[in-house]
Amino acid sequence: MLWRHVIRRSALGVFTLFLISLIIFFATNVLPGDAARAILGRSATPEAVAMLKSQLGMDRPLSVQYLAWMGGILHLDMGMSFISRGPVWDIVAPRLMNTLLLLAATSLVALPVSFVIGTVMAIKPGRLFDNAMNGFLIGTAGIPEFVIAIILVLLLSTQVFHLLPSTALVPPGQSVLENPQVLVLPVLTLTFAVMPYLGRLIRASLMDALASEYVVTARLKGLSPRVVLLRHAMRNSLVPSIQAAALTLAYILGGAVVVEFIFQYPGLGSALQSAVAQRDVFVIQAIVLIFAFGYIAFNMVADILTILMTPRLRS
Amino acid sequence: MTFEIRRRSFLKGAVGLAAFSAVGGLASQATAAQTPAKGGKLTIGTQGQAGLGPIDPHRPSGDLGINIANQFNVFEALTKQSNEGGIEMCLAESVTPGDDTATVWVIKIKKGVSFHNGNELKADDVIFSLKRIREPGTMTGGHIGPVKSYEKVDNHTVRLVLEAPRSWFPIALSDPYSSILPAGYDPKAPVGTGPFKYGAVVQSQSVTLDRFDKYHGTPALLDSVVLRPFEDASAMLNALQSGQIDIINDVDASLIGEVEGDTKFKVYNSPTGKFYPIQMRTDVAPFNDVRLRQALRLVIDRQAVLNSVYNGNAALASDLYGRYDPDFDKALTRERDVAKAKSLIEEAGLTGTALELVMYNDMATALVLADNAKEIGINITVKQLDGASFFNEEYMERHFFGGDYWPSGPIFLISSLADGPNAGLDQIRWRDAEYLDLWKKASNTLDAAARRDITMKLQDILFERGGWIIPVYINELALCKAEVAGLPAFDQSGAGIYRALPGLGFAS
Amino acid sequence: MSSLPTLHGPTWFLAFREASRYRRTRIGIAVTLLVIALALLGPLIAPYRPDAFVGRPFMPPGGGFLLGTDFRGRDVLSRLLYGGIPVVWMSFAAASIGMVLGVTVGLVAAYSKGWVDEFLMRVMDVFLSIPLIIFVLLFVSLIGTKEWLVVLLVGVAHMPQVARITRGVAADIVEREFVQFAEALSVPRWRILWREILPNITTPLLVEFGIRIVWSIAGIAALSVMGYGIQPPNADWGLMINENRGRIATRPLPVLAPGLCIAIFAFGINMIAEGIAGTISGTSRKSGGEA
Repeated sequence: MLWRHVIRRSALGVFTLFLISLIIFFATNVLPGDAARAILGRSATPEAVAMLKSQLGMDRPLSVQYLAWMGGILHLDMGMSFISRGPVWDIVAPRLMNTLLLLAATSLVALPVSFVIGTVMAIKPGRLFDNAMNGFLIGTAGIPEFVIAIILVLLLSTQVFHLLPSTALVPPGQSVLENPQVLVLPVLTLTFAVMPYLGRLIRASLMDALASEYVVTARLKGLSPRVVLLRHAMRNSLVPSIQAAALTLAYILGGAVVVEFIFQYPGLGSALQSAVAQRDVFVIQAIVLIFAFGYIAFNMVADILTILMTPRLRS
Repeated sequence: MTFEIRRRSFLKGAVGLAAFSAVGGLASQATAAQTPAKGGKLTIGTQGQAGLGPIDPHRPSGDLGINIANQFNVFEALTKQSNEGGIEMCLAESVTPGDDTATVWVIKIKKGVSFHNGNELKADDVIFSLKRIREPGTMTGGHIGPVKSYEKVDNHTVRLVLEAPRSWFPIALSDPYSSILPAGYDPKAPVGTGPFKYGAVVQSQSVTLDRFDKYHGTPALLDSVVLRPFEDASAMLNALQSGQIDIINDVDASLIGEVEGDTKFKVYNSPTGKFYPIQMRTDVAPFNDVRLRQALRLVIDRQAVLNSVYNGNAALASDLYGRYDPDFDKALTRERDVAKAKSLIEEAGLTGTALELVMYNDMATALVLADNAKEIGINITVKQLDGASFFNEEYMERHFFGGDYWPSGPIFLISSLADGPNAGLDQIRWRDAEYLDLWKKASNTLDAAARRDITMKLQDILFERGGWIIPVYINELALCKAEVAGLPAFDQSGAGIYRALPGLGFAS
Repeated sequence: MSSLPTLHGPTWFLAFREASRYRRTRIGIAVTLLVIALALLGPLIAPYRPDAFVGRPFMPPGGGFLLGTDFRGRDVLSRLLYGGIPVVWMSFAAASIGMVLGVTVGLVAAYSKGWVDEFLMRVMDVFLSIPLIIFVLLFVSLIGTKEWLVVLLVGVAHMPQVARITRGVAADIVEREFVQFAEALSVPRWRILWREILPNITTPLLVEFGIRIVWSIAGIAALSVMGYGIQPPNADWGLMINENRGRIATRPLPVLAPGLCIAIFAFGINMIAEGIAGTISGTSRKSGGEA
């Protein structure tokens, strides 16, 4: 049952990726402006454009270009960049690493923090902490990431304190890992962006669990509240929490584009922007497919975990 | 009297400068006091792309790593524009007419010039390079025009026979994109003759130039220069403030205030002859009516453009190019005259005409014009496009557009691409018979004084009937760390920082 | 004046009235109305035209410019007062498009069941696997930054999530007796969907509408911040952030002021949505799973 589900979801995922790649490829080619013209700029005379297009292989029929690219993908070759004339993977790989790093760091901060906040709120509902925190979380829930980013920059790097760089400057040839300080503000921004949803969700599911018959019975049996909380309630609230966490990761993937832009963080989002500006079709393809893949994967993982941890769905 | 006018407008500009970038004044004093020491690594931040791929110095690529190399750092041309705007020899020892037709030219090549790969520069390399410059799709082929024959007289002498006369041939060789490459040049292993050679290139992240010790001229002081491209101005500013880069090149005028009053930084602010023309296509209605073109030229508030768009860091222009050409006509100045513009429009029966002005990147100048044009009953809507869309199939056909940049340079260097016979970038299709006749006559005239007279007449015609609106000449602006020494006081080219690199260093 | 709530009354109105008992709803309505008023009336009280170059770039506040000037010497206050309309109308329009499409798909899926349901939901899954911002960024940069296009794309991007929610809440209703009763009487399908099922899921849909507006505000403004939304010289809060970012360190107001306006607008709508959600007892909104 589980495996059939996984296989079906995977097949659907692959089909989705295929559809997306078709859409991107033909959309980027049918619509005005192309890489050759973006490169040539003012010297985009008809002869110069024709020459560069044949150099770049852009004069072949679209279907041939697409099939050649697809053939490459099957061999894990993402094609060549029109702009750098080098493998797309060389451009995308370091950016992907940086975005994954941002994602990992954000999860490491946002998930535990939200979990703790949600749990503390659920244990003593209606008390001062719960009420204050609930108000704060509801109040900040709708605030866009870029506004959070601006406020954090003003607080921590320019107006009040001068602790952190307001843009993520990584010297050429170095990685983000060697400059971990550039991660702080983007991670904080994303954490504040997801905490309202995650924290309240964990609170709600834990409260459901605490109110369930099962826990009430355990408490009546004389188990200490702590044991009840840890052993029974938390386990039962784990399912929605994990689901939420996976969806949150998928969300961060999208939200990271804006945050990367604001902080000029050298990730996939900013790479996508410059690729779009230069109409570098295969780089756009690669990045959008990576995003979609991540999205599908996170959703699927959430699904599978839910099934695994819900006994009645497992059979 | 003419001098007086220029002087006045110059002073106006100077006052603006002093008021709004006090640091600029301090900077020039600091520059004078410091002497650069040998050695060190200088990092330059710039907005755009660099280190993209194979290096072709003759073709535009949007790669600033090629641009910096072409400014006589890695690659050099036969001749060079001086900081003041005249022509001086570089890789050529002399460029002289072979007869009095202005079609035969003898280039004597400087001896003892070594390429970065150790080979000596010879006639074959020059012929190879000139042929390469003439290939389709290059930037500067139009300067030289068609060539009948390339003849190697000896190892250090080349004799060229041109199809059409070019009395200003030494100027034609001076474009930075007419650089001289070794025969059989390989874009994947770029070598030139300049004071720097290509070092490490990190894809889209940095381009390093290392000092070339066997340079034929005065060797550079710095060990290396690193060019770092930024996509975003605020990130670049941060990099300067945090010490990651030493210079920000071509900084937007609105950002200069950021380091105002900070003694750790100084501003390089030099007048130049570069400009962003607004172009009007003259072979179709409505711009085929010269009265419309003149009316727009009369109505645009140049001072407003200078103040708002460039924060005062520019100089008023009067629709003429070649500001630092020795033959530039300083007497032709245009004062704003709304009444005259209005009467021209009414006379032409064009009141109420609606126009669409397409701009590349920044549209502020166009907005000023659109606003001004309302006063004479012309409705201009402004549309802004990015690079890939602006330079699309319509690029050569547009009726009314602007925002792409023209470098500072001698008159004939620009006119041979923009409005001369067979010009490659003449989107304005301005085929004025009188102008073209005089242009050919000037290109026939080897006598400098006689050519100057014709050039003056050419400018009169451009001033009265041309297809370009040139509101201002833009200053070159750069922010530097205070310890960067050896900056020139003035460079007309607009690439002053790049051209100064061999003489730059850190204060000892 | 009080009347008994009936099944055939305007259910959205009843939901609002019930929600307005909560303080957060009242705060939300007040704040939202304030922002909308600012956006609509702002142009009437702005001291300058939003595209007029009235000073030098980045002048500090004072001297006739209450919030200073922007990167081209335009009055920040005037641009702020003119710049609210795009965010307001575009986010409402995009959310509405998303609701109409999503509710239609979700209702049809829930009511049809079987393979139609399966097919529609799989199609929605395909749409769901592209993050909103990337989806819009790609098409906008290709077709050009046109307001209607941004609205349409953001709307379409909302569709799958709305369809899922609608299908979820409608699935129960479809099984109820009164629907089967209507079917037995051969009431036309569209009439059953429109008259019988829709009124019964109004409240959760209203909450969803609110959440869609909040997402639209964030998405549309983010596009402008990145330069893919409203184009210069128009005044727009998101665009102002994009244009004036360069000097955030020494001239924070031209960036902070529009940023706060966007945040307050999103806050207001979110509070209303929260208030309405609070009327559905025992329901905890699960959101956060999408961009």
